Formats: sequence, structure tokens, C-alpha cells
Amino acid sequence: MGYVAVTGGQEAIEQADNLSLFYRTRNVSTLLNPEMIENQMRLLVDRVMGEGGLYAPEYAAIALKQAEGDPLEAVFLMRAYRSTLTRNYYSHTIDTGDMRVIRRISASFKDIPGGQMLGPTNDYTHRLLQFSLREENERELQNFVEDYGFTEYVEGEITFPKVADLLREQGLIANHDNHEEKEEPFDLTRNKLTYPSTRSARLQALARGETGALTSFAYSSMRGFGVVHPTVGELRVGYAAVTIPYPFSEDEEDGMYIGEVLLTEVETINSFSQNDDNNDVQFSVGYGLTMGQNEVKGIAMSILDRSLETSGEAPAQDEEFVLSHIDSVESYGFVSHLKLPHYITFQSKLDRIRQAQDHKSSNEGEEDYAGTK
Amino acid sequence: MIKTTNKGFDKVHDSQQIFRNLVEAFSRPGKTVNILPYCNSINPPQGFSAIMTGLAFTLVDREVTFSVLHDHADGVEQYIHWQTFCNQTAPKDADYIFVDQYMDENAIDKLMDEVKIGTLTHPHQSATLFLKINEFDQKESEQVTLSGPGINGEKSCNIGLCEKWITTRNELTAEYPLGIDLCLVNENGDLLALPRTTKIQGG
Amino acid sequence: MPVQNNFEMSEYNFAFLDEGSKREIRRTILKGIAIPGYQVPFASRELPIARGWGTGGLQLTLSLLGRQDCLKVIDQGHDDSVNAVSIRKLAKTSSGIETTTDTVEASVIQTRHRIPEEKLRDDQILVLQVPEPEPMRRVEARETQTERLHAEKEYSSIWVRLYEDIVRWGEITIGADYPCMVHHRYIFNPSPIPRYDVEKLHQADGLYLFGAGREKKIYAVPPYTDVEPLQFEDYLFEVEEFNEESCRLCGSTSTFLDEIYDSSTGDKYYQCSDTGYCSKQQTERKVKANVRT
Repeated sequence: MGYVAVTGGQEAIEQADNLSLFYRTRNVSTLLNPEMIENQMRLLVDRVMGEGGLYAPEYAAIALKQAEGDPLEAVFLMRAYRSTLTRNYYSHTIDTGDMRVIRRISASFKDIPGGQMLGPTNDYTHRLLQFSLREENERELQNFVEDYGFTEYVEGEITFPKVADLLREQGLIANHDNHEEKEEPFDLTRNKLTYPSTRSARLQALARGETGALTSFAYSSMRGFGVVHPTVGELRVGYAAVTIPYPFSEDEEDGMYIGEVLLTEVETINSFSQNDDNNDVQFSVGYGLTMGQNEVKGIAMSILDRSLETSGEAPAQDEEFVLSHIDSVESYGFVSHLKLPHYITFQSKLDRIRQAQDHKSSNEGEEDYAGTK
Repeated sequence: MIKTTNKGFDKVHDSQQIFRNLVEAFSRPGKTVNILPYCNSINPPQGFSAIMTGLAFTLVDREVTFSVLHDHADGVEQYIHWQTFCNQTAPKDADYIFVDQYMDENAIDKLMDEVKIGTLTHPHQSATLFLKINEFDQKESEQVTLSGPGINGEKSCNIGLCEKWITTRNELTAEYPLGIDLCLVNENGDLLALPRTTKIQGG
Repeated sequence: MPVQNNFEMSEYNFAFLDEGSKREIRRTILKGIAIPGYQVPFASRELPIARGWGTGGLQLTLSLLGRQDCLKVIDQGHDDSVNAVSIRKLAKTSSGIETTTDTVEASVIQTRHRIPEEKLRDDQILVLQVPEPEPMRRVEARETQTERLHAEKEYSSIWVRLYEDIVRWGEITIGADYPCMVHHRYIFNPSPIPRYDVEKLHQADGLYLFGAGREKKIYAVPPYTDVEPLQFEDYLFEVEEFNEESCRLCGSTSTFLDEIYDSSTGDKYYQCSDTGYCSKQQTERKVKANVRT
């Protein structure tokens, strides 16, 4: 029996749901609660929020539980929920210079104003599978947290000047393009992305892009299918304040604080070029910004931002190619739609191939004329 | 707040009904639909039409722009902006233009000269005009013959437009797919659409 | 047994989408009707069903629906196909409206890959799910290029493609989703309906709306609009042939049939793809048989 020819579709779906629930729970001794995911699967939650385009750690955790840990499925859940939300305000531009930094490094300079700050990272931790995690002791961990003495409050005190500004002051990289800065950013959740796009549209598409896809495309550029192999000027992770225009104020700049978001910001420094406008020789900068702590994606984004500014034949230089294929909800959906029945289209194809076969057998000997050679 | 003045207008269901009537009107140019029942409860500002206001509530928000031609345009524009978050702009840039005032031939020429008609790559980036008229079958408007998509053959009817509107509209839609889409309404809530594909002859 | 995915109405909007999203889709629908066959871009929201599974059609449906509507959803002509059930359930639970399997009762019909056998009336709207809205994608991968081709009405490359088909195979090999010209201006994809269904679009009584969620395009064929499948004078457009096969359930010889292989014997038989129509025919046949005896 086929999965469509059979009647009772409603019943079949319900049983499929029940089976999923069964497989999710049958060997369970402790049920996951979303709070555990939110706090212990921090990086996964960050990734799901970023790709989902919705800063809501608790919802991301619920999505991950519901999706049994599949990040693509969890992102899909976040996006579908996001679609139902009314939007009445756009926030002011976030100033990442005022970020409360928890981690900040530069690969360009040994020392930078404010210094390097390694922060929470496993970059230099040996990747040895820690079997001791099997028996982690809650009380010991609590004691550790208390003894460690590191609090959000202290963490919150740290702000740093930006490395890019240091270079900018010396004329080594171009000033912000004023025109670009004043322009209302493109919003691809409200308008269809068209090509060639604006840089703001491109950055938004990259920021929502799938981490793995971005990483692959960026890697291809670094390996030689492209020209971008940058130095990380600065990578910072920290909390930035978000404000919206005060609703009853005449002055658009009047802000109302609505909360803060954890962000990863990356500025990469690339080869230098001569500025068309003023003939200055300057480094070009690539920019990456993601929700939460997602450093590889931040760096990949900055590479692709830069790569899409260059012209050439490599896939990572092709705006339409990169931006049309990095959204996980779209790629995941379309690839998986092949699971749907296609037997009308297949019937139509059968009709065509049978006709073609008939034609071929009745025209035997005219093969060359028909242009098959 | 202001919203209390429109307590009766149901932004979910009244908008949906107005929209479906617009679909019907756009799909069948020359056919008259009525949206009065869904606009009745609106308390429009300064003599502006409740029908027009209902149409604005249905179609505009902060993602598009609008313009109002009315004797108290400033007040009406501010009201629509507050209610819908939609940004007001000059007619030449507007996606939706609501005309609720008498316009002489010069004024019509000026408006029709500057409205957006889209580009060949993006013909949809053009203006939709809502015109308030007194009656569809008033004396000075002669019968016209409509044809094109949505019309089974030809349709003769009164559309209540003076010749100037028709000729300027026909000029704007001459290079299909460029053009404007026109929607006529009266105070009774009758509505009739003339999308750019409709050929208007006579009048 | 706790069944998951219970939809809590109060947590969501009427017809799922927020009013801002509906407004954008509604504006786009009106533009689409005003410019038949032109693919109007829209932002396209993510829905609780996956991209590629009918999100374009569903966004149209959800933006159209009001409390007075009656909805029919089919996939492959089938009301009870799992994807049709899933789409119908989402529309119904989020709006509380009536649904039906009878084409005649529906005011809005959402479909994938088929147009019902019963003729669309002037008070009905048919919503088609579209995987690939761009007819020129067959010959040109880039959106920037296909946009230009439409703008300039430069369609020679697709004609060449059809010509090459004839040279190579002696016929045009496009099966479903057969490209058509609408209102003598735009070539468009009618969505993967069989060629058998294409002529229903021409000078129809009802309105056809097409939604491509992933590709973010909406387009329309209004009633009484010319729709012509691409063809050459000496190589005419052909619909699928069933060589006088008939439906094994209702006996119909004038409907689009599915070719099915019996799961135990492997025998080939045919059956109406429009299951709603087929069951009506079966009932009628029974009634007639009863009258006769």
C-alpha cells in the first residue's frame, strides 16, 4: 500500500506523531527540561537563535527539545513561530563599541588597547572525550561556581575600544561609508531579496544563514576557490544594549531600553586596495555579526561579506549563488520535499517517455537525421 | 488612545472581508462590490470617507507608503499613520493614493503625470489609486465598454469618471505591463476596480 | 495517549499569520491579479510546514480565508493524502472554518499538482502550490537574467529548448508544469499540474492563484484570461493519453487517471486521481444500478 493511495491520512499522521513521541521517550530515565538545554547546550541554543532570527533562548531550548536536537528542525520551528509575531518597532542601530565584552581577541596585534581577553572558549582545550562527564556531581559544580567568584556583575564592567577604529584613525582602513550608514537597512523578512542586493541585505542573509553552509563557502574561498584569506582584526563576544525609538517622542533618536542581546562580532582585515574615490591605499574589511556565541559563523560571515565584494568566477564570489543557498529553512525544506508523492508529475513523465519510445521505434533508421549523433 | 475611536472595526475580520471584495473587484473589472458593512463602524477624521479609511486599514502598514488627496489631507494622513504605522509620502512616491476631493483637469494631469507606473523588470512597483466618486451612473459620465482579463468578452457600464481621468489613465496603461491600478468607490461603499489590463473605450 | 502538536488557538492568530503578514500577501495578490502571470515578489513567511511542502499556497489560503469560507485541500487530487490532511488541519485549527472534500461546496481550494475535475465556478478560488515559479529556469539558472528576459519579453531561449526537444525526441518532452503564455505577455509555469489540466486555465470562470513560498513569488490567472500552452504549428501541445483505459472504481474514461500496481499481484490498473469526484461518480453509478434493478 502506498502512503497516499491509502485512505485514513489523518489517522496515519496521528500514529506517526505517537511513534515519534514513543521513540523520543521510550528509554528515558530523566526527562530533559528546556531550562537544562538553555543553560547546558548554550552554543547550540545560540546557533538556533541566530539562524532562526529570533533572540529567545528559552524558545530555542523548547525548539531543540521538540526537534530531538536536530538544529535544522529547531531553526525551522523558531522561524515558523517568528512568522506569527507582529512587528511594530525597529530598534536603533546597536553600538557594539559599548558591548559588555566576555571574550575578545585579535590575531593582528599581539597587544591591543584593553588587551586580549580569552574568555570562555575551548580553542586551546585538548579535544579529549571527557568520560568524567558521566558522573558530574551537582554539589561539586555548585561549589565550583560559588568559589570561582566570577559574576555577571564584574563581567559587565568590561568595555573595549574597537581594533578597527584604531586602524581607521591611522587611515589604514576606510571610514564608514556615510551613505550606506544613513540608508534604511534592507529587511529580507519584509521584502524579497533581489540581485544585485545591497550590503545590508547581504549581511542580513548571511547572519541568518546556516552555520555549516557559511563555513563551507568561506572555507572554499580560503582554499583557493576565491581570493579571501583574511586576518582576524578582532573577534568579540559580549552583551549589547537594544533600544527602540520612544513611541511618543517626536525625536527618532529618543531611545527606550528593551534589553540586551549576546552577540559575536568579527572584523577581518583583508588585502589592501586603492580607494576609487580618494586614491588612498587601504585595507578592506570584512564584517560578521551573529546572535549568541557562534565564532566560526562570525568569521565565515566576515569572509563571505568580503568575498562577495570581489569579482571573479569562484562560487563564493557569486552573490546569487551564495545568498540563495545558505538559508537552512529553504534548503532543508526543498530537499526534504522530495519525500512527498510526485505521482501526477511522474504519470505525466511516463506518458512522455512512452511517446518518445514509440517515436524512436517507428523512426528507426532515421536516427542520424533526428540528430542523436 | 486613538484606537478607541475605531473599536467597531475588526482589524482581522473586517479587513478580510474588504480584501476579498477587492479580490472579486480586481478579478472582474467593472463588477461592483459593496464594502459598506465592514466600514460602518469606522469614525473617520475630518470629513474623510469611512470607505477610504477601511481600505487604508486593509492595505497599508509600515512596509509601504501612502498619500491622501483631501481638503484636510494633513490631519487624515496623520490619523492613518497613527492607526497603521504607514508612512505618508508625496503622491509621486506613494504605493497607495487615496483621492477624496474634487480635482479639476489640471490637478488630474499633474497627479497622473507623477504617479508610479513601475518598471519593466518590476511592474508591480506602481501606484494603486482609490478614487472617491459621487455616483457610478451620474449624468456627465457616459457608458464605457470594458474588455480584458476578468471580463467575459466585453462589458458596457457606467463608471462615473470624467473623460480626463479616463484618457490620462489610458495613457498610463498603454505600455503594459507598466501602469496603475484604479479603484473607484462611492459613499455607499460600492467599489469597482479597473486594473491596468482593462481596456476602457468610449466615455 | 498524549498526541503531540495540539494546536492552542489562543496562542496564535486567526488563520495563523499575523495581520501584517496577511496584509503584505494580500497586497501582492491584488498586484498579481492586475498583472496576469507576472511573478510578484513577496517576503514569504516561514510556516509550520516546511518550505517546498506548500508554504506558498498555504500563505495565500491563510490570507484569503474568512469565517464564512469553506476550504478543500488536495494533494495529487487526493483529499486524504497525508500532506493535504496536514495542510487542511493547520488551516482549520487556526481559523475554525468549515472544510469539505466536495469540490462543489468549497469556496477556496488549495491544491498540489491537480485541478479538480469539476469545473471551477466564478465564486471559487483555486490556490496552487508552486515549487518552481520560473519557467525560464529550464534554460537560465540566474534570477537576475530571468528577470531581464521577462522584462524584455525575450523568450527565444525556451522556444529553442522546445525545438531541440523535437529534434532529439520527436516531441516536446516536458511532462507536468508545462509552460504557458498568459494574456499574450508573460510565460509562466502553471505549477506541476498534468498537461491534461492546463486548458482549464484558459478563459476560466474562476480565479487561479499561484504561490511559491520558498522562491517567494505570487502570481495569478484571473478569470476570462487567455492562457496558451507553448506549441509549434506542426508540433501541437498534447495532453496525457490513457488509451481508453478507465477508472477501476467509477468506470470513468474522461478523467485524469493514476497508474497503480497492485501490491500483491503486481497487476497494473487505473484509478481517478481526483478522489472526491471519483467517489461521487461511484455513488451515482450505484444509484443508477439500483434504479435499473
